[in-house]
Amino acid sequence: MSIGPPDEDPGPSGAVPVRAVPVRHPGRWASAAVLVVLGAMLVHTLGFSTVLRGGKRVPRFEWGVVGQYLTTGPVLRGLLVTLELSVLAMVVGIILGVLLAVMRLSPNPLMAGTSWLYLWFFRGTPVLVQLLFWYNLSYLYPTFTVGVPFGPGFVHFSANSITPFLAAALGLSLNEGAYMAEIVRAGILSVDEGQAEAASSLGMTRGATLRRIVLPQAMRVIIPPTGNETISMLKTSSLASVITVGELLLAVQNVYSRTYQTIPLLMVASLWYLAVTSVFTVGQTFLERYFGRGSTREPPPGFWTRLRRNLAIRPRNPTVAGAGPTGS
Amino acid sequence: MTDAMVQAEQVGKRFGRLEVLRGIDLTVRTGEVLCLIGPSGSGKSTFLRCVNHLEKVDSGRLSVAGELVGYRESGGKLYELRDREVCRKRAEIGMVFQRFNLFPHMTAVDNVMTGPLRVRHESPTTARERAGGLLARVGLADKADAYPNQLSGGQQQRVAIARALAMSPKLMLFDEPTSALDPELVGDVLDVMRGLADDGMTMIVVTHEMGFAREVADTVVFMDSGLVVESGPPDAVLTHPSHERTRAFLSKVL
Ligand SMILES: Nc1ncnc2c1ncn2[C@@H]1O[C@H](COP(=O)(O)OP(=O)(O)O)[C@@H](O)[C@H]1O
Ligand SMILES: [Mg+2]
Repeated sequence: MSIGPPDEDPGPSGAVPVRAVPVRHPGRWASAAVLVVLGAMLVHTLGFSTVLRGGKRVPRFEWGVVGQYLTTGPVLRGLLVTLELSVLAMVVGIILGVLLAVMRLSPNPLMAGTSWLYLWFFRGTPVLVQLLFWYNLSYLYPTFTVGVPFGPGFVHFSANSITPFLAAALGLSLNEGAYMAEIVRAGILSVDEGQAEAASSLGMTRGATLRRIVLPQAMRVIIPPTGNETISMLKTSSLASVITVGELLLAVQNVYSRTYQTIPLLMVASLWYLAVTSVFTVGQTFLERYFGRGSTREPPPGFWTRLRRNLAIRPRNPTVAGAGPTGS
Repeated sequence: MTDAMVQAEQVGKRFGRLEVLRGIDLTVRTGEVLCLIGPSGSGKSTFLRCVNHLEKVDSGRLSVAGELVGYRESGGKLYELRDREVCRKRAEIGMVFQRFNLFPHMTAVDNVMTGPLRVRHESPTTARERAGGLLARVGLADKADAYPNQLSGGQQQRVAIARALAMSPKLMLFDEPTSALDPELVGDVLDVMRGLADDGMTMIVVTHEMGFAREVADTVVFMDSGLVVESGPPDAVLTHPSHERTRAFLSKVL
């Protein structure tokens, strides 16, 4: 509810506009002042402070070095591998997660049990250990054979065909599948049972009901934690550096092991992680809006509207509560 | 017997130790409107759900259009139907729920199109055209592009009826279709149902609207604790009930 200026006419309906002093929030202004000071200190230490290093006064954060390496070939190639690895692992993880969630909710106890066992194992062991395990698979299985179980084999291939990238993708996907399964299951359970019933009563099969009716509604609950998982995956993929996958972290490590500019190069990696995370976050907002259709009558207020409302700043064209159109 | 759309003989259903249906005998002829009344918890919804196999019958025989619900009989033995066959049969029975159960992520017209599109695999153009016609029939031609939460309860229930009609069902089941509505919205929904009855639709209607039952029903069945207590023409059951329990129930709702 907002307020008209004091000299406002009553509307043509004769209704008297509501005049009230809005609630003030002095605490908000005080905390804003504290934040401004802290922000200034942060900007200063990041951008303008210097430090004595080897008898010379140099900028504390060597932004020059950061800029120098930010867009070099090795760093960009590492970034590309990071992106490939995370996107691949998320896509496979989501597909696996949906499968596992559906299995877990299946009336068939064998399916539900298998899914439970999978989750138990992959959530119960550290992902780094899983990566190392896939990386060293050739120790257990030097060759793979496709053929009749316990009978003759037809195709053989060596475990060396599992590259570090493949091992990392495998490890991250299988692990992600276990976490996504719980997210998808929560989403499916959040949809009112009446929805599946209505679909069944139209003659839709279990599969069609899941795909057309239940999952689209479950998406509203599934997307926010999935966004979390995607962002988390982007960073978890840096574990692949341990098994020699040339992703972003290994790329900057290779540079600073030669130049000893450890901190600036870690900042290079961090800036890229931040940039990609920001892009993902924007994507998530759009997805949420798409799958939220039909769930709210009005779109939620944007950032600026909320900020203005919270600080009780008057909009330029006030609307008058209770009255009809006011004579402009 | 060929004109019996629904035939129930000693139909029984239990949930764990709770016996919800204790031997229901009931016949609905083709074109007949049967109103099912009775106190809450008497098993009315459960019976409706058995008719389109949302629940499995435990004992007795229940058949729709001459075919057993959920089973195939061959050589004196019963075989459970596959999921696909159950779906095919459900497609021929429309159901309208107390809480509407419209699909909230679809517009009204998309709700109505869902069955023809996803079950009958009609082309989107044909399906949309027919859906538009059905929305007009329930008086909501101008609401085709509204989402369910932009509609009043009465409008939502009429969309739900159109959605069921889109499958051209030979039998319609209504489970307290007006119980969740504000009083002033009940009339519109009942009008649509009356229209269906006039067009010769076979219907089983669970309802507390005694006025509707009296006016539209061919048969009124009073159920209590899983049994049919009394059935007959509306006048007989509603005005001159012969059982004490029917009288007691009617005195509470009228
Ligand atoms: N899925 C279920 N599981 C266990 N009990 C149920 C279930 N559905 C219904 N019941 C019980 O069966 C009885 C009859 O329910 P219902 O058929 O919904 O009655 P009505 O529609 O006449 O009010 C109630 O006691 C209810 O609690
Ligand atoms: Mg009921």
